[in-house]
Amino acid sequence: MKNLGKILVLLLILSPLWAKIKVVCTIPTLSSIASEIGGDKVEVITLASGEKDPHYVEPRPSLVVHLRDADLLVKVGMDLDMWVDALVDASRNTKIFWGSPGYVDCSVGIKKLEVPKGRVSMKEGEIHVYGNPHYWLNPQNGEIIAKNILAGLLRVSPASDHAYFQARADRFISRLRDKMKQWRAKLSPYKGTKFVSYHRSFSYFAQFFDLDYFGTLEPKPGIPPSTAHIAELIRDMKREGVRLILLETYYPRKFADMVAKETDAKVVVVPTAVGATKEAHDYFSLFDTLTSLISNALKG
Amino acid sequence: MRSLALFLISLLLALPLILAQQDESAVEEETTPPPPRGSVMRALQLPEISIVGNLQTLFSSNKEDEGRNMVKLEEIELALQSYIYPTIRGDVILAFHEHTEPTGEKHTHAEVEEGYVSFLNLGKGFSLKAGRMRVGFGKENPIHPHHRLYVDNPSVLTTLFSEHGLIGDGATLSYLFPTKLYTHLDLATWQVVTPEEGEGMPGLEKTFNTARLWVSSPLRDGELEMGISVGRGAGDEPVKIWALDGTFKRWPGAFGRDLLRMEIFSANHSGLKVSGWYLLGAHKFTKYWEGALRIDDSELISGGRERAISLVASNYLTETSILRFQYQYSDSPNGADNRLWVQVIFGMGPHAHPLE
Ligand SMILES: [Zn+2]
Repeated sequence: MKNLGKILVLLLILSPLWAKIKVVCTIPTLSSIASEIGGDKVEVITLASGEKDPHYVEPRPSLVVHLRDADLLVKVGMDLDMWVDALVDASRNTKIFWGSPGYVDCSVGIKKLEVPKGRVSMKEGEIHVYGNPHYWLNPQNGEIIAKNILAGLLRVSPASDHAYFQARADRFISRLRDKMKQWRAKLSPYKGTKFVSYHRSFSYFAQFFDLDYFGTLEPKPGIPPSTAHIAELIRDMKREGVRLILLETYYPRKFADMVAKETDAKVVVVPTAVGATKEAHDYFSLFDTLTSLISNALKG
Repeated sequence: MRSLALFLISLLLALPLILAQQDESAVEEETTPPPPRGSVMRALQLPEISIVGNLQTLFSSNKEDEGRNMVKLEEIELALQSYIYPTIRGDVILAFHEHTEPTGEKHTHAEVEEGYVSFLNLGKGFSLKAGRMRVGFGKENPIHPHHRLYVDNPSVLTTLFSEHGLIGDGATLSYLFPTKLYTHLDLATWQVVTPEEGEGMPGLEKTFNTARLWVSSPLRDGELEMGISVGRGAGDEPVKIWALDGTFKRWPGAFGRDLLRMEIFSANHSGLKVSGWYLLGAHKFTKYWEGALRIDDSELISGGRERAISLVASNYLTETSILRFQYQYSDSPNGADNRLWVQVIFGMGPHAHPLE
């Protein structure tokens, strides 16, 4: 019995060494990258489903339980996943409060696009008040996200794990760089192609692939399409010969079809984040799917 | 206790300035994550300020309805919200209401609807809120009116409490159980602010102590929440109220949301027993349109009961700007009535709600 006691004490002392680090990510895109870096030493939990609009996620009490037990919170930041703030407050877990080692805002170090200058009002739309938060759609930003997550993991893990995470992060980044060449090659024939989308989701995507972001069905981020705006968009698209509409999976199809009918444009429903479709199950397959869908559509 | 709320407000307004001075030397590095919204560390060192307006027009067959057949600014809510320390939040909600006397005379009055400080982590799963707030009794009472799915309040809430629900000065100690199932316990003591004397359930106008147990679990592709609330007044013959609430929500498809909610209340004071319930169902048809049905059944303090059925259609222009229509048929000892509300809720500025 005495020995059993000793073994139990030993187990208790050693348990942190094999207890997995609990990483809670707001959206599956971040979970995918966190899993690549964390490997077997982390348990990754995702709060929102990739099928939903990531701007509007209804906080639900059961998510608080995951945050209460989290060692690391990984969020997109800016105003995209602000819905997690009330859940973090309710979790009482100061390890993941802003400024704590367990708080990872992946937007740190991202060159942000469309940051409003001067006074910000609802006239500029309901969301994107800190700039466009859909930065993961430029795969180069995947590197920055990975580095932010790695830094967070290094802050909350024992030193003995650091080499493991560092090696996995290096491997992820080099694989990503290889894939970037492939993806770019796949869309290079279509450089400068003008396209519209429902919401301003593709600014970073267009930046990487040299596409011409012509406009959106929403008049402003978060503001529903209006007849006047749609009419103007149709007129401009006709004049400029815009033939591609990228429709995010979580927006209604009606308006896109309406515009397509008038302009002879093609509507392509595309995943804008991991988990939005079955094919886009991780960060790599997200771009595989996106580039295939777009190149197939433009092949004509 | 009214002065407590005022004290807290001045504290809240002063703290950003105090903290700002301490923070002046801190230079933000590129590697520092930007602070969350509602943090005083933001550039202007001001709390988040938001305004929510609530415009209503009520067409009613009941000649006694206040503000009948005219556009009425029901309420302007001014919210000042801020973290005053990484683990402490301050929330102040000022409300401006307009009331029309039967003589046609209008009165506008401003009031501190809420003003409280939240200590988000006291350790070991405890947290504390102190100040004036919507009392966490039942499910709908603590929810801000502009965040509800209908225009008028369920009659059981207006009968037992008031048009503005149950608001008190006091403190709530909360405990989050270390269990897999979300289990949350509130213990609170209040000096009741509304209902005022003569309104609502007799015996409520003084000290009222409450407890609420809230459990929540994922269920299929949704979430099932259950709550039980008990409240007890002070004195030899205290008022006693209990409430049961249950909510099921699910989020089918890309932007769908279905909700089913029921709350049952029962109150007892010196032999006067009043109980009632309401049932609420809501379904999002498209990204921008939601329909709801509410059935009310409540005993009245003056005797008899009021039954009502409401149909609601809400158009979400943005998350904080809503156009809403509500038709209601009600039947009470005063007779049957038809009512139609048109409501416009407009939000300006960043506005946060705690988990509700
Ligand atoms: Zn967006």
